[in-house]
Amino acid sequence: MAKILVVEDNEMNLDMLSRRLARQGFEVVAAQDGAAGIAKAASESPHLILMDMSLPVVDGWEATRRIKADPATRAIPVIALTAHAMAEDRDKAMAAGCDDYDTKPIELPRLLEKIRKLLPAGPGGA
Amino acid sequence: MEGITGLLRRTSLAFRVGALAALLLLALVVTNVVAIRQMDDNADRVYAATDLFDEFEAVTGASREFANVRYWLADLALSQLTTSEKNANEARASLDAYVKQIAEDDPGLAGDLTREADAFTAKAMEAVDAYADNNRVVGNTLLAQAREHSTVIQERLATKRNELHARSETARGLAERGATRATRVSIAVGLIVAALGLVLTLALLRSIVGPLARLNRAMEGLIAGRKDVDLPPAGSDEVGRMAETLGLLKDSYGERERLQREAEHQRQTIETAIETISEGFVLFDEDDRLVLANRNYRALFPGLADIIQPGITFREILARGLDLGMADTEGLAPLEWLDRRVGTHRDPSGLPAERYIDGNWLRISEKRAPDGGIVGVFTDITEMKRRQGELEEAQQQADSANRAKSQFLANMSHELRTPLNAIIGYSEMLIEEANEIKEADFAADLGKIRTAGKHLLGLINDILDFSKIEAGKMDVLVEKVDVAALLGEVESTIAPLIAKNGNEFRLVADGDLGTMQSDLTKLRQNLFNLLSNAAKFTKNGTITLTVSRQPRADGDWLSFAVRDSGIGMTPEQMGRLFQAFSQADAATTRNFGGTGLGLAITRHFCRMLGGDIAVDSEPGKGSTFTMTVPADLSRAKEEQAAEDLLATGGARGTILVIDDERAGREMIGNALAQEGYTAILATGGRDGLRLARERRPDAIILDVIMPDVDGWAVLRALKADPELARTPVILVTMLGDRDMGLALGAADHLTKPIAPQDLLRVLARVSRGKDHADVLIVDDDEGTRDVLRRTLVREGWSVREATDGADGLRQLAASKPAVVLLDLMMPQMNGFEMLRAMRENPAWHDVPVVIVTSKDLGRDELEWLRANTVEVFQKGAYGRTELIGSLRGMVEAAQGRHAAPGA
Repeated sequence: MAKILVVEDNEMNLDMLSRRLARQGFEVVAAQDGAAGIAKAASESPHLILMDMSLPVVDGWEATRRIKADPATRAIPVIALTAHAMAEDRDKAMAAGCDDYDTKPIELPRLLEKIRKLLPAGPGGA
Repeated sequence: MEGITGLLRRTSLAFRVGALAALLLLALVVTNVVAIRQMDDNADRVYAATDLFDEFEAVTGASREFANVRYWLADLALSQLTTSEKNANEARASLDAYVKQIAEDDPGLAGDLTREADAFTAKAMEAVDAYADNNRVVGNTLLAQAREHSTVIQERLATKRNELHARSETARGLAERGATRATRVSIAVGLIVAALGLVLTLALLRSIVGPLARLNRAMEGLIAGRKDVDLPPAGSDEVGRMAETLGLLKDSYGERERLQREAEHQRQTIETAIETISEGFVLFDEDDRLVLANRNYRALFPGLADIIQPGITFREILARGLDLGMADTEGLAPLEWLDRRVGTHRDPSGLPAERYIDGNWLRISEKRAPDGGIVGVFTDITEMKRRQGELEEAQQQADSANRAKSQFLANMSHELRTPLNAIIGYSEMLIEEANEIKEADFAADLGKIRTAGKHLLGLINDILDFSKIEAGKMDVLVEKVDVAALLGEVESTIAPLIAKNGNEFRLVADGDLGTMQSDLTKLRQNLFNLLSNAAKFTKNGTITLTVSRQPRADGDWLSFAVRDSGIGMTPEQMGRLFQAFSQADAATTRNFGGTGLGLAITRHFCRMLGGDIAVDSEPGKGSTFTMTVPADLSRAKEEQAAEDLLATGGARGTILVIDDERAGREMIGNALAQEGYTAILATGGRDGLRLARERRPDAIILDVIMPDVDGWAVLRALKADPELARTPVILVTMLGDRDMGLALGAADHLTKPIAPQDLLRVLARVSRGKDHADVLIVDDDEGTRDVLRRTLVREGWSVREATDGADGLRQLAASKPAVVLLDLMMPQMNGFEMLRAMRENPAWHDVPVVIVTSKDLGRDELEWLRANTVEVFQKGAYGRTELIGSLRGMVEAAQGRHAAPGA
């Protein structure tokens, strides 16, 4: 079963996304700020990270940069979740090292497709 | 004498002197010849006298020798001595010699003498013989006989001697008279020659010295500055030519004086102009000494008034200013600042500089004059600076308010979207769970929550997009777009929405649509927006998306046409369609929802993608929205940027701006565009001429100083081209070039830096010939008339006013205007009545009428007005440019109509 780390500070969004992913058969680990996200990326070794960009303590772009800078966590794919559908945010996320991005509000089928594309072959939902 | 002098005047001096010398030489020769002739005569007389003398000698000798012969023969006769005989023979020989001599002159006498002498000798010898015979008597007789012969001889000789004496007396008298005559002739000839020489010499001198003296007097007069000097008549000789030259000199003196007067007049004109201009003007020569400064220049520096005098150097003025603490040294040491300022003064960049001097802000424009001097123009811009400061402050406030607004919108949208995400997300989740536990009713209700949430999100997104567009923060991201994939994605997204109203979706697409270089997000959003609109306004119908790729000259374009079979729109509704916050009408919003931003955003996105959107619709028959965009946006963008420069602004007229300086060109271009002109911008003379020929502008604004082909050359070329010669040209010149420009045919001129209001005023004036139109304003409200009049007059139109319908008809009768601006609610005769009267009168039937009213018009009224007028403007609801544009269109149409029959 694939393990997904969701880094999201908004509790409702986190709860909703976790439950929907869990229903799709993923194991979900949560972090509520960038620093925690970096720590859990190392300690939990998730198969994929969903990273909100506007986060407290360390923001999503910086957190992504650090995860991608650490050889231990470098290989984990990161999908940026940006609130603003703005080219600027998207480019910033890609520049920070994100492997893909999606805009909020989440459209689950679209997000699932992106997740499945990035997960290593074999494990996966449903 | 005068005659001779006159004659002489026609010959050259050299000829004259030469002729005089030749004449005098000739006189000398004649005199000599006469003298020689006289001497010859005298010599002849001497020869004649000598002959007479010789003859006289011979006669005398002959007489003496005959006496000897007679003596010795008589002696012989008596003595009988041989000696006597010998002596007689000798005497006889001498006598013969003399006779022989006489024979040369008088042979008759000589013959007679010889014969008589022979006869005497023979008788005497007979007597000798008789005496020898002592026959004395016979001897005596014989001697007496011989004596007879001797008497003859002696008589003849005496006669001869007397004759010769008389002859010699005569000859002497002759010689005496001849000598006297010769002397007289010589003296006479000498006197005549001397007199002639004197006369000729005097004439010659007179012919030379007189005119020379007059010339001398004339020259002295000219030098003394007199104009009425008397000049000798011009002639072909040297003096005449000199007089001629002097005459020319005198004329040139007169001409010079005239030119000096003219120059003085011009100088005064220029001085007056320089004194009159509102700027401070100062001119320094090449040694940086002040040549002239006008009053305004002195007024700018009251502390320096005493030293601002011609001759003072710029540095001295500056140093005094420094001493008085007038100048801001910009943080430099005074001396360094002084050097630097003198440096920029001596080598001006030509660009105006702004300096704070003595409590005033001055704009200083220094330029190098062709002769190496420096021209300075000083403008007091303190007030302008103050206003500029206020404006900047206001601008900053506006900017920060705008930033705050944008930030607020961004925050708000984030804050709004976060709970919306939760609403949509939880409702979706609950739908899934409800479906799992088979609670279909719950799922349906939850679906409504989700749909409402999504709708709300769409509205928020629209507002956010629109605020971004307004703030100019909407970016275009060009990427590769697979058109077929895009269509597939859009189709699957829109399918549920289309199915909801029982509609059918049809996609008609070319086989190979290829790829685009464009903004995928915006294309998708536009298609989604158009399709969802179509779905919203159509029930149980068909929605067709037709996509094709069209090659054009400027590259491939893609056309996306969304056709529905829905409710359709009236033309009026279509006109408002793309305006923000406006739907077909208020009822639509109630029935169909939406912010009314969707199509405004769609059109804006289309334009950002280099294309546009068009609509075609009929009420009840559905609508077609066609979006056309270039396949390659990056390429289209470049072309459009160039085109943007070429065509900005509106339909008021096309103005070609030729200026090599980008800033100047664009400033003018923007000012023109704001006033509703289309500005064509050319970067140089060659470019300008080309554009003038291609685009045929209504007027040309031409900078004089340009690098490739200068403005003068462009102006000449324009005026030489028969098709462009009548296009008014406004020159942008330096001070002082105005006259040259006007002489070359410019319509007007402006001086840099150009104030936009001046430019527009000049343009209005220059194009008035074409634009001049008579507008009649009929309105009882003075305030409204005033506003309209001022607006129209500023546009260069002439305006008449009437206070009610009756007054309006009187004005119409006086002369027919190009347009009538008509109010409806007026005392005595209202607008409706006046309009009716106008339409019934064939003379006024075709005068366009524009209604400007504050009356709330009923449907019937509006329809009647529409049928009888051109346009109806509600007071306060129209824009000035809209009104002007409408009037202009009408006037042009009317003029076209009037011109046509004559053409």
